[in-house]
Amino acid sequence: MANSILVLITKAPYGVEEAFAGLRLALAMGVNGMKTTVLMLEDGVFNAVSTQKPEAVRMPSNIEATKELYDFEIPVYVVKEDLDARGIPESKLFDGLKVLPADKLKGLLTEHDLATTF
Amino acid sequence: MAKTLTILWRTGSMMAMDANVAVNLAKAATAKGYRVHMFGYGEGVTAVKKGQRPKRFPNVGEELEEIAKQGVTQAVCETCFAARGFERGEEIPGAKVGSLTNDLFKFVSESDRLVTIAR
Repeated sequence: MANSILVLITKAPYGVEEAFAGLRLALAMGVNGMKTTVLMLEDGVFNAVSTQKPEAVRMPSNIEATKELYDFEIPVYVVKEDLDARGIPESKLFDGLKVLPADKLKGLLTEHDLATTF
Repeated sequence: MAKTLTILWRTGSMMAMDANVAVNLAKAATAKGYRVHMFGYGEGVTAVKKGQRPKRFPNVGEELEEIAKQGVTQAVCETCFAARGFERGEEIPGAKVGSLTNDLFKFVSESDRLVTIAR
């Protein structure tokens, strides 16, 4: 029996649907009351950039898909070192995200019964 | 009480062995005494399309149908299924066109292990 799930987002938004699909899965778990956490890491941190323009590629917004999670108190973390490696300053992130140092990842993983990667 | 495994797969029936790997994992876990749920998401939904006729590769639709008879529970995302032009009734017997919110949540909440198969 699982009471919690960690959803890892490792892919950049648009071009491939993975990140959006992961956000929707997190929503589906959260609306049912399961403890759910989203972690954006590797290229997944590009989903945290506030100046995305999904309308340019006629795709649904990953920012909106992320903010929908806030309504269900699903925390969304972004790995600091992966932001730094890609030259993304924290000032460029949209509101509500939590920046997490990489050395805290193990602790986050162990807090959850299951994990899935997108 | 038997442990429960959910296999979440997100690649299609063709062009990659992922769906075949998912089937083989389900068979192996069942043989070990696990109760197994499978959920197809994104391209994964194509694996439950009825009437697949691959010439040279294993027919993953038929294999899924076979393991469903052995008790492996299967569901796919209805939104993803419809997005690809499939309608209810086009799925293989034993697979359910369902949802993340109902079916996948139920599978996950019952599970001791979750394996994600994707690229």
